[in-house]
Amino acid sequence: MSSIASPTLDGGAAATADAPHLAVRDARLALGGRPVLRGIDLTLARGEVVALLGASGCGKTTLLRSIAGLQQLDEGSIAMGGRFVQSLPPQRRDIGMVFQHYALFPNLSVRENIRFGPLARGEDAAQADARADELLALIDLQAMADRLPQALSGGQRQRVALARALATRPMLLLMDEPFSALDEHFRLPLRRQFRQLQRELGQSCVIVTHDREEAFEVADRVAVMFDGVIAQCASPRELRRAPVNRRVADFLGMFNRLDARTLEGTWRRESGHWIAPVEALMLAGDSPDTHGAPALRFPATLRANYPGQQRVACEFEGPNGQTLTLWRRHEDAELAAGSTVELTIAEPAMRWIED
Amino acid sequence: MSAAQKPPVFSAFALAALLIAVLVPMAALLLYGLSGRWDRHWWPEAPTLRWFGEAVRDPRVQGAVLRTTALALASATLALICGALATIPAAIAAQLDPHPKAAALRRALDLIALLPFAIAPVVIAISALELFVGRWGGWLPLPLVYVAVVAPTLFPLIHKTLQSALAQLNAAALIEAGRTLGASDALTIRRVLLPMLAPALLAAFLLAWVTAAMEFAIANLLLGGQLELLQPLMNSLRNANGHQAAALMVLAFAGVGAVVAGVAALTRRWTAVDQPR
Amino acid sequence: MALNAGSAWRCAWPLLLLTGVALVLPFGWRAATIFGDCIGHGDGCAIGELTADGYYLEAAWNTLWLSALSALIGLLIGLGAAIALLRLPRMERPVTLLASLGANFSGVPLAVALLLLFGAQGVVTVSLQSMGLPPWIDLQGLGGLLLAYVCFQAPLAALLLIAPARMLDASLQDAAATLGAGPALYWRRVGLPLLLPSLVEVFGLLFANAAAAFATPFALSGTAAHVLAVRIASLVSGDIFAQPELSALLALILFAMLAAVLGLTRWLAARLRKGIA
Repeated sequence: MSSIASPTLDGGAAATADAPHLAVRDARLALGGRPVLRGIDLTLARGEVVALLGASGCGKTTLLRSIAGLQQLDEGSIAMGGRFVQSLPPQRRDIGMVFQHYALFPNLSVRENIRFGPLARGEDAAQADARADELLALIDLQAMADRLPQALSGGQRQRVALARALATRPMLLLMDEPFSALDEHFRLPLRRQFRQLQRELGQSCVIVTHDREEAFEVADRVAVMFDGVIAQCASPRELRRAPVNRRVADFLGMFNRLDARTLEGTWRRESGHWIAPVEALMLAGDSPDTHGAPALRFPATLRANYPGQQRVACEFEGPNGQTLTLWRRHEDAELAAGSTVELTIAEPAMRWIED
Repeated sequence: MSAAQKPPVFSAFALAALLIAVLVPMAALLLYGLSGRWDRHWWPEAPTLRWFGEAVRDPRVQGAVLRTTALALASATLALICGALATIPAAIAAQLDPHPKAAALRRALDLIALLPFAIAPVVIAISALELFVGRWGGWLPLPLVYVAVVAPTLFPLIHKTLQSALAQLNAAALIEAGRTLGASDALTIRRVLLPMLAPALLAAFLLAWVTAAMEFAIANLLLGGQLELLQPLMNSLRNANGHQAAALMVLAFAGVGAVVAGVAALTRRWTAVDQPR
Repeated sequence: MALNAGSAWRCAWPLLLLTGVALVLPFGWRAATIFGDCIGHGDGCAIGELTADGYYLEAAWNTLWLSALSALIGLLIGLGAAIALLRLPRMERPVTLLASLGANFSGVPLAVALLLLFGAQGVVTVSLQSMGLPPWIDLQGLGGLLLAYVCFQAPLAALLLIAPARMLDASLQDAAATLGAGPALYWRRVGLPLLLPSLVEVFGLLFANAAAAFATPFALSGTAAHVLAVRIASLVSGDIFAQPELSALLALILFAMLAAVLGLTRWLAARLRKGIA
């Protein structure tokens, strides 16, 4: 992590090379009487990608728009590269933004859309043209340069929106659910292409998404948001290893969870829950020798089998009614619904988290 | 759209009634203008183009047409400028700015668009006659008064036309995109929004022009004997020579029809030039 | 200059000024003088003349029921036509064009056409006479006026109802069919209730359109036409001695009628919309 130089006042001295590209402190905002942002702290280093992940209504889009300057904060500060920007209009912040439905200018060609930013910021026509050519090559759309947005497919428009936002070489790129408007078929390749591009350019980026898979693949750190606060901001690996509380664990959807108060023996606790990655749940008969390490064993009743594309998800009802998911391969013998079996989780896979 | 079934009986009948109500009077007028006489049988006699020719060549008609066109043009221009300046920013600001003042402006404009329906043209004409011509007629030129009085009555048309075009535009998102790119709102409006609204502005202007040209109450009562406009002229001609008057009316409506058809073509263009989905 | 509520209000000033000076000022002035007369010295007020002789009250009543009835009939025809067009998409463009023309085809040309057909020397009247039948309609009377009003109300209604009718998603009727409901039941329980707010609003506009109409009654019967709009004008610029105060009073009554109907229908439509949404 870079050392944080103290932010100078708005319009002050140039940013130091070490200053974080984004530093949000205690951002608060209420809309229509309802508090939407309730004290957000977020920092972003150069070249880092942070994903804002959460359900609808958690405030992630509002936070993004506040960083962009399209929304004013009630309290708190936003600093970019060491400069306070929270009272500056979007035009004076060094940002680029990709909107959910792209907001391409319908009456301007692809090239003119991309040139719009540089021209607006005072570059001369020749420079703007050169920059546009550069970006058209980057997104591989030279052939469509003089077409209007209506003539393009969804994926092509998305790339143009990206190129337009990058044309001004912004310090910070902001993206509002950039892949959600695309057909599922294109989402995966496009987001991997984007991640590649981002790494090459070293572009700092904040992405809003509700898709967990997308957040994990694209981001260096994921900020999980609920009700206007960031519950946890950590790398995908860290989130997988140690979600900070029950709500985050449930939202990520990759764990089986057991209430610690309902278990017996060494597993019992006064509060909190035990979680384990889904793949750690096994049939007692299948599990390898545990070398004496204590494993959790309990009976469970199978509710139903859900054969997916990659594997079969078996939904079990545990001893206290909680839902547990077991993954089996398609070639494994199918279990009968309603049957009761013994399940086990190895001790190393278990982790205790608070409520 | 589900498969085109036959329309229910009632609506088919209504459609027929509509077509009759519109076409029969127009057809009658056309026949009258084309016939030498139509007072002996239920069919017209002596087809001739003479009335049309006379109507076109009559200097009184030409004068009235010229005056009407010019005054209607001025009214439409005034109405378009004031109306567009009011409607367009108001609609966009209502989407962009959560401030209650924005919603209040929209409500105020909707009210102003309703006023010409509540204050009838007769009333407007008489009141304006009393005030601007009677009391202050000394230093207020009559054509100016006419233009200024007709213009507000055209606002509802302009307001409605522009609002429906703006609704399809998603202008707020475009302005925000412009802001994040470093452009002032004025630049985005100039380079993106106005070009996109151009067909709608033209359509609104043409409709306003035609509506102003066909105006009767204010033209008759306010301008009285001083300036003769098209509709009052048609009214006085009908007593002198019905056929010629009919020919003139048909010509006038052919003009109106051409403009309306042109506007319809324009409207189709701007609904077809879609937004990126 | 950023686009927000404040700047939008500033841009609206030309329109507000124009409307204030050209529309509100003359009418307000007139209304104020009337109130001044009535409140100041009771006998100088024209109310006495109004109530003494039922003549003017009759004109007001005529305006009221003619406007309401023509609006209703126009609404029915327009609604039926709009629904029919849903099923006949290829006819929509030509019919819309014709309807725009028809809605503009009011006043002198319409009067001349109708007189041509149904007037005392009209083609249809004379033909009926030669067959020994009485004339179909007395064009100079209120029946004739009603017919004329319907001729331009119906197309206007059709134009205004095409968009709301289109909002009746075709899939709704399909869904009703799969549930076993015939067209009649669908219209009664789903279609008409959904359309009702638009119907109410359009009725208000049609009413205002007819009540304010000056050209058509004037062109049909001259100053003898017994509706408020013509009375108001003839009291000021008529052949007999002018009675400006009475004219102003009648203008106020017309305004009150229009404002009441417009306000009521819009409020009702809004309530109905909220009930649905």
